[in-house]
Amino acid sequence: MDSFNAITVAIFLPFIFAGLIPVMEKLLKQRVGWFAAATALASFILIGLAAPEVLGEGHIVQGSISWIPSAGVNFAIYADGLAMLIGFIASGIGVLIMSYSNGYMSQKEDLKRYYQYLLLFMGSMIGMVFSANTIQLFIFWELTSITSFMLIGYWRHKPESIYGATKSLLITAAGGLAMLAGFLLLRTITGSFDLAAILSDPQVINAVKEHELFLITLILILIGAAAKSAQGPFYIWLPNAMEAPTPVSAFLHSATMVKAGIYLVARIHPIFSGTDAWFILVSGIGILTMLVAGFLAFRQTDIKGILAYSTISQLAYMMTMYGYTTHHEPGIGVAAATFHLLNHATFKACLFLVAGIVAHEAATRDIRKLGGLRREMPITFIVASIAALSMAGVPPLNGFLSKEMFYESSLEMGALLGGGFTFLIPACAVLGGVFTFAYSIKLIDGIFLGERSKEHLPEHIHEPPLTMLIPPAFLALLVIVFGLVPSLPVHTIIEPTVSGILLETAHLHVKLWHGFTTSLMMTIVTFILGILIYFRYDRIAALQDNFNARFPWISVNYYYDDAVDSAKGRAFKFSTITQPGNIKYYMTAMLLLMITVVAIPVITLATNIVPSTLNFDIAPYEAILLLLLIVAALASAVLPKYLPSIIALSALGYGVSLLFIYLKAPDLALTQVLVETLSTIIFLLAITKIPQKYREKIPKSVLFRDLAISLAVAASVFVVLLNATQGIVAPFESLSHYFIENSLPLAGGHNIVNVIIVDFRGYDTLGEISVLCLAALGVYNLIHSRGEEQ
Amino acid sequence: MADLMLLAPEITLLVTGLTVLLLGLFLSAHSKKILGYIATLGCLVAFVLTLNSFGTTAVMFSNSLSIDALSQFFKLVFLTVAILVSIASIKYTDGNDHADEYYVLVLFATIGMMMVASANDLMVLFVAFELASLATYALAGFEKKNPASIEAAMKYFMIGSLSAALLLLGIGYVYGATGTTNIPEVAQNIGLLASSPMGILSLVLLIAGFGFKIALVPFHMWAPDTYQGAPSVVSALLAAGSKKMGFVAAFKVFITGLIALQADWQMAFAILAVITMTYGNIVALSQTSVKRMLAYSSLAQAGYISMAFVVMTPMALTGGILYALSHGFMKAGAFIATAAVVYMATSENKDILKADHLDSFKGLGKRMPITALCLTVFVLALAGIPPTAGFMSKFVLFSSTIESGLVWLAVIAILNSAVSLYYYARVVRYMYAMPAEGERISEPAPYVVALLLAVAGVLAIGLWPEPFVNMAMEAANVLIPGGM
Repeated sequence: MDSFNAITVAIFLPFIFAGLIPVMEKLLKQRVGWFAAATALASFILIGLAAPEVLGEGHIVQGSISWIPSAGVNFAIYADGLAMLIGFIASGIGVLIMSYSNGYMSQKEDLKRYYQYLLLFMGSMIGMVFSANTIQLFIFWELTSITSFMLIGYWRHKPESIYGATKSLLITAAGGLAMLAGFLLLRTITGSFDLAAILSDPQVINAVKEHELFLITLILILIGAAAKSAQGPFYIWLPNAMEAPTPVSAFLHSATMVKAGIYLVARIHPIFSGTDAWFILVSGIGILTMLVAGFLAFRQTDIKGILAYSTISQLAYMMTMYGYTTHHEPGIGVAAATFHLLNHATFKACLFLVAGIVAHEAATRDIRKLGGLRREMPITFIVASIAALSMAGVPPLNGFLSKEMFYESSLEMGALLGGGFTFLIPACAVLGGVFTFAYSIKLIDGIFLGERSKEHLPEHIHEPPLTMLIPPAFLALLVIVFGLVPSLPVHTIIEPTVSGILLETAHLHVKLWHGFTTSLMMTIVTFILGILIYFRYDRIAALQDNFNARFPWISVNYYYDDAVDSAKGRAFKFSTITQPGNIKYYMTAMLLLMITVVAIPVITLATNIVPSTLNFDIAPYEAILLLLLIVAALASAVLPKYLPSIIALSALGYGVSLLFIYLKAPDLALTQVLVETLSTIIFLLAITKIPQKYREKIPKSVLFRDLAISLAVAASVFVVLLNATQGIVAPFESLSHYFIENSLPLAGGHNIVNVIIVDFRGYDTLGEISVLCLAALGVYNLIHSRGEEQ
Repeated sequence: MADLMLLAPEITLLVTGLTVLLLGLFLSAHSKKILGYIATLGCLVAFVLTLNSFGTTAVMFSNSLSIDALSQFFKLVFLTVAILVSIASIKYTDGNDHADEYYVLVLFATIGMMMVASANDLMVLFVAFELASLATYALAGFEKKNPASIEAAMKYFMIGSLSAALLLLGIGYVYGATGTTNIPEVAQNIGLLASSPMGILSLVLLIAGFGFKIALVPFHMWAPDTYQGAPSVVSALLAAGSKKMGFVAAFKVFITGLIALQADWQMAFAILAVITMTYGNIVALSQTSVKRMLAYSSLAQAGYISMAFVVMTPMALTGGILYALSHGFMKAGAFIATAAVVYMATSENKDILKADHLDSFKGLGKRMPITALCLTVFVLALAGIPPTAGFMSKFVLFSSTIESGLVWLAVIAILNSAVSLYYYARVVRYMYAMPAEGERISEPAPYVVALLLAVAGVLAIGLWPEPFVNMAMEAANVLIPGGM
C-alpha cells in the first residue's frame, strides 16, 4: 500500500468501524472496547506505513481525490513531519485510552455510544492533521468539536456536564467559524484553498505578508486556534470540559484535540511568521495565558481541575514558543515547541490516567480529602511521580529537556528584541516554570504523600486492574526514555516536523547534559523559587478565593454566563416588542413601508411624477357613479352590523362593473357581476353563521391613527396610478381586425362573437364556466349544510 | 408550441389530485390512508419526469412558460418537499375524514409552486403564486378545531392578501411602464421604468409581494405565528417549499426582468438580507417553542439566501440555488421531526397545549432515537456544521461573497451563523443531554421514512456535492447567461 492510500484508510477506518460498533457490541458485549482499541492500533500502523517515506526520506506525501472540483476543493492529503507527529499522537494515545477505558468504564454504561464517539473523534483528528486544504481542515476541525461536545455531555444526568458540553461547543465551534472566515480571506489573497500550494510558493507567502487583509486574516485564524486550544479569554471552556469521563479528558482535552489549535499555528507558521503581528499576537496571548492559567491552577481542589489549568498553561508554552519570531529568524522556538508538544502529550495523558485511577479507587478527586496513598498504590505512585516531575521540569525526564529549550529560545528571543525584553521574556518564562513546578509537586504531595485521611476515603484502596495500570505506566516509560535518550524522538520525528514547519531541513542536537548554561541556571532558579512558593501554596489559593469572591466580575466566566443567561431574556424582550401578535400591527408595518417609499419621490420630485396634462372631463352620470362607489365603500367600513356592511360591499362591486360597462368592456363587466353575485351569496351564507356577539370598542386615538394610515395608503395608490397612466409605451393595436379577418378562414364561423367564445378563446370560456360551476356548487353546499343544521 | 410532455410532471400532479378528490368521495375515513400513498406516488412520478427532462430548454404557450435548468431545479426542490410532506402526512392524516382535501391541497399547492418556477410571464406568475397561496392558506387552517391553527391561517391569509394586492400593483406598474408582462420583454423595454423616479416603487411593491413568501423582514410577521400554529407537516411545506417559490419568482423577475434596476434592488436586498438574518437569529435565541424557533431560523436562512442577490456572481447564485435545495431538505426534515414529537406528546396527553415546547424534546435520544438522530443532523445542518448540506451551501455562498469583495457581508453572515449555533445546540442538548421523562415509544413508520429520506439528502449534498453544485450552476447559468 502506498503512503497516500495508507493515510486515507487510516482516516476513514475509525469512521467505518464506529458504524460497526453496535454490531460488535452484540458479539463482544462489554469487551467492545478492545475492538475500538484495535481500530486505533490499525490506524496507528497505517500511519506508520507512511513513516519511511515521510520521516525517513523527508518526502511530503501528497495526493487527492476529486470531490468538489467546481468550488476548487478536493479531498487531499498533505503528510509532512508535523502531520505525522500529531497523527501518531492521536492514534497512539487512542490505543492506550481505549484499552484503559475497558477497566475504567462501568459495564452498566452505554459503551456503544462511548466508543463510537471516541472513534469518530479519532478519525476526525487524524483527518484534520492530514488535510491539504483549508476547507477539509475546517470540516474535520468542526467534527472534532462536535464529538468533543458529545463526549463531555456523555453523562447526561449531570447538569454540570450539560453546562460544560454546551460551553465547549459554543466556544470551539464559533471559533471554528471565525477560522473559516479567515480561510476564506486567505483564499481571496492567495486564490487557493490548497495549503500545499500556498506553502510551496514563496511568492504567494510574500504576497500574503504584504496584503492589506493580512492582519484581519491572521486574527480570525488565530481566534479559531485559541478557541480550540483554550488560549486567552477562550480558556474558560476547558475547566468545565473536565466533566467528561476521565479517559476522554486524557485523550481529547490534554493530548490531542486541544493540540489542534497548536497544530494550526504550526501549520500556518511559514505563511504568517516573521512579522511583528505574529510575535505580538501568538507569543503575547501565549505568555499571558501561561502565567494566568498557571497561577489559577493553585485554587483548584479537584485533581482534574489542576490538570485542566495546567494543560491550558502548558499549551500556552507551545503558543509562546511558536510565536517567537523575528524578520531574520522566523522560527526561534519551533524546535522547542514541537518537542514540548510531544512531551506534554506523554506526561499529561499519563497524569490524567492516574487521576482516573485515583477517582476510580478512592472515589474522590478532591485533593483536600486525598493523601497518603503511596502505601496502598505504590506502582501508581511511582508512575504519577515520574509524570509530575517531568512536568515540573526535573532531570533526567523529557519535560526537563523541552523546558530547557523553552528557556533557551526565550533568552534568544529576548536578546534579539533587546532593551527591556532581554530580561522580561526570560523572566516570564521562569515565572511560568515556577508555577508549573509548584502545582506539579502539589499533585504528588496531595495525593500520595502526607497523612491518609480516614473519614473521607474508603477503608481499602488497592492498585487498579492491569488494563488501567499498563497505559499510564507505558507513558511513564516513554517519559524516561525520551529524557535519557532524546536523540531517539528528536531524530525520528521532531527533526522532520521542524523541517515541515520551517520548510527547510533542520538538524537538532538535544542532549541531556549540555554544560553549565544560562538556561540551566534558570532551571535552578525555577526550582528554588518553586519550592519557596510551594510553602505558601495554600495561602495563595485562599487569597485567590477571597479575591474571586470580592470581585466576581474580574473573570471571563462571569461575562460568558452573563451573556448566555441574559441572551435569552433580552432576545425575549426584543421579540415581544417586535412581534406583538396583533395582525393589525403586522399590516401597518407593511403599509407604512409602502407609504414611505411613495412619499420619498413625491416629496423630492413633486411636479415631475404627476402627468402635466390631466383629462378631467368626467361625464355627469360617471361622476354620480363614482360618488356612489365612495358612499358604498364608506358605508361598508362604517356600518356596525355585518349584514348591511356586506350589502354595501357588494354594492361597491356592482358599481365597479357598471364602470366597466361605461368603459366599453361588457365581457369584463359580465364576469364581474357574476363573481360579485356569487361571492355576495357565499359571504352572506357564511357570515350569518357567525354570531355578532360583541362590538369592538376602539379608542378615538387608535381610530384616528388607523384613519390616517388608510388615507395615506389611498393617497399613495392614487399617486402610483396617476404616475402609471403616463407610462405605457405604445397603445395596443385593437385585436378586432384579427378576429374579423380570421374567423371564417381559420374557424369556419360567420358569427364572429360565437367563434371568439368557443374557438379563439375556447379555453377561457371553459375556465370561466368551470369557475362558475364550482362556485355554484359551493353555494349549493352552503345552503345544503344550513338545512342540515336546522 | 413545444412538446406538451414537458408539462407532464404538472399534469401528473393534477391528475393525481383529481383522482384523490374523486376517490375521497367513496372512501370511509379509515380507508383514506390509501390516498396518502397515491399522492406520494404521484409526486414520485412527477419527480422522475422532472429529473428526466433536466437540461431541456423550451418555451411554451406563447412564451408564457419556460422550461429550463432553473425551472426544473426548483421544481425538483418543490417535489422533494412534496414527497417528504406527503409521506409524513400519511401518519398525520391517519383516520381523518378530510384526508382527501388535505392531499388535494398539498398537490395543488405544489402545482402552483412548479408553475411559478416555469412562469415566463408576470400574469402567469401571479396566478400560479396565488394558486399555491390559496391552497396553503387552507392547509394552515386544516385543524379546524384548533384555535392556534385557525389563527395561523387567518394571519397568513390576511397578510397574504395584502401582499398579493401589493404584488399585483407592482406588476401593474411594470406593465404600465414597459407595455408587456412577458419577463424577458420587460427587460428589453425597461427604459421608461429605469428612468422614472417611481421605478423604485415597483421594485418595493414586488419585493413586498415576494418578500412575504420568502419571509423577509418586515414582511415576515405572519411567518412565526403561522409556522407555529399550523400543523407541523404543513409548516414543513410552507417553510421548505413555499418560501422557495418566493425565491424563484424573485430570481426570475429581478435578475431576468429588472436587471437594469440592479443597483436599486441590490441595495434593497443587501439591507433586507442583513436585517432579516440578524433579526431572525436574535429572536430565535429566546424561543421555547421549537416550531417558532424553526420559523425564526428560516428567517435567518432566507437572509443568507438573499445574499445571492447582493453578490450576483454566477457562483453566488449557484450557492443561493443550492442553498434553496439544502434548505428544502433540512427545514422539511426538522419540521417533520417536530411533527413526530408533537404526535408523541399529544398521544400521551391529549390536552397538552404546547406540544412543541422544548420540554417535549427532553431525552428524546432515548425515547425516539431515530427522530432524535435525524433532528440532530437537521439542526447541525441548519447551523452550517460540516459535513452537511447546510455547510456546503453556506460555503459556496459565503466564499463567493468574499471573493467578490463583499467581506463585510460575509463577516456579518458568519457572525450570524455563530449566534445561531446557540439555539440549535440547545435542541441537541435537550435531546441528548437531558434525562428522558417517559418511556421509549415506537416511532410511526411514515415519519421515520420521511426523516431518513431527508437525512439522506442532507448528507448526500454534504458529502458528495459535485452533482448538486453542477445542477445549481446550470440553473444559475439561466439567470446570468454566459456568466460561467
